[in-house]
Amino acid sequence: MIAQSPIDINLAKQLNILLRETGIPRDRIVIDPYTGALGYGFEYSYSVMERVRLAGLAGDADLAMPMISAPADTLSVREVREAAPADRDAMAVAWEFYTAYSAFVAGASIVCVRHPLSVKKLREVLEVNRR
Amino acid sequence: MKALEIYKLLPKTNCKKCGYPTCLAFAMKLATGKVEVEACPDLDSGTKALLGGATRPPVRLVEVGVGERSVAVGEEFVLFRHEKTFYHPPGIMVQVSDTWPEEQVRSIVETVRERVVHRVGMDLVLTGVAVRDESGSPDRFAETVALAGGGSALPLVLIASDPVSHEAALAVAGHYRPLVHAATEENWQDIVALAKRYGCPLAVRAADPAGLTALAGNCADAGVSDLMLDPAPRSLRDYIAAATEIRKAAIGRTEPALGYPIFLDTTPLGETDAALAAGILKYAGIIVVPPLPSASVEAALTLRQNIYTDPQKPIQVTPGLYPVNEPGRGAPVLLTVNFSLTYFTLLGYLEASRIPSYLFVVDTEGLSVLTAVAGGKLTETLVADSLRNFRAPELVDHRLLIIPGYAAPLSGKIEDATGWKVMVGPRDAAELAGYLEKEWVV
Repeated sequence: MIAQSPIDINLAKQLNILLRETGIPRDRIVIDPYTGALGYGFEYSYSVMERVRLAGLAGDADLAMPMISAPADTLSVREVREAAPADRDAMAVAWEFYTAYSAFVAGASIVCVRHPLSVKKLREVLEVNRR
Repeated sequence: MKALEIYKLLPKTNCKKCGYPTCLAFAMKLATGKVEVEACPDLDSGTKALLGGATRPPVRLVEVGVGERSVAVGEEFVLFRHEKTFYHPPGIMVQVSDTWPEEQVRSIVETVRERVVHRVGMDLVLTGVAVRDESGSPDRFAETVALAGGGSALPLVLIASDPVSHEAALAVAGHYRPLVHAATEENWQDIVALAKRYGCPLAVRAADPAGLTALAGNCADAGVSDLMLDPAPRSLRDYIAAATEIRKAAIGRTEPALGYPIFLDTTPLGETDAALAAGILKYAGIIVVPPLPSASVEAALTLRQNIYTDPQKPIQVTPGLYPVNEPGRGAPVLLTVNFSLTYFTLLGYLEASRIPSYLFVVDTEGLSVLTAVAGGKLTETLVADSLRNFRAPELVDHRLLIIPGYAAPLSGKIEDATGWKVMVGPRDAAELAGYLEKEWVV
């Protein structure tokens, strides 16, 4: 189950506690701290993800779950929407890639993107890093 | 050291000679590294040395280049931006090789100089040019450095392993504070002498932290104090691990020889976008990149701006009445706050809806709607004054104001203070277009 909260570590924790109390085991929860698009509040999401991961590592069992980042608004930001038709794909992939890669660095384990070329590019980077 | 511990060592005379009203105020500034201990004239040398060592910034501030486009990096205090903030955004240096045709070098330098990304009232630019010696010819290297402007307009990084090449390049650019890259185990004595002669910042390069520590220590002892550390990463993972280790040692003051900004050359790593992002996110002071596609420049500069935004001070939008989709005299007026995230989210949905409107932004000191209402920053007086100041009555024929759903408790008071009829809009910007289509009939 994905537990989504609006870019707030305290609400993320509270939601997980409520879920636990309703009988959902911790190992069935993935935290979605909500991801704002790059340039549109991404820094808030980035820091909340870092804080969730640090809290989990420091022993807070209610925040010690994997995180998912789904920057769903990314392809509708002005930079992508208003790009010249010839540049739109490149801009869409750049915007998604920088957002998604940064989410991985902040601790996300699952990242959702919509452009097929973003998937390809992210996969290549993760392969390179595995070596 | 904490402010109170520092305070105990100060004269406690509140003489104001340091420029602060009290010794405690001075101690608080010292604790955050915002002021030099030298500002107090009444300390003995022993106390000065003690306080200086404990209060100087854990990462040294290093400046590259001169003039308007110069960049200062380092002077950071935390490992994570939520702990306080990151202060000095990394310089992004676009690489040219001295084996490339003159025309290509010129065009890249021009792109770096001219490219501007406008965001949230700020102009974001690439920082400078890195010239790489691949020809092996000192003359050729120096010519390319001159072609890149010699450092007078844009900050330069000079990348060569041969001290003779550096000597030739510094004869051209040495007076403009280029970053010399790099002193290594093999060449450091010659390179340090050059950096010292020209007063230039110097990057040291070694593949393991122990080697970096030794090398940086040697260079500092030899008289060059503006250093940068290149951990020579073999992969992105390697870079993130090394950069984290260096920053931790600096912040924890466990190893003074690692208290310098980090240098990252992305070109051997291949994955430029990922490496550039990693450098921005994880502690790089100077990042060298190959010439980038336009989309990458825009995304990278935006990421740099986002990560170096002070989490304690939200970015604000100038209050005002903003026309969206060319509104006429019958267009709706939508009240909102000057928290930039709120503004841009609303703007995005409104533009996409193609409905003409006025976005009426009032000054809540950057607070969101919910917090501004709760904290008393969004009030009927503010709304009434702002409507008048922004001349709203002259722009529209109606007297209807749509307020955010979260400001509903204020609707009666706003009606009384403004004389406008208030309509309560949705709480979520995503529902605004639907709301306007249904409710707005003038």
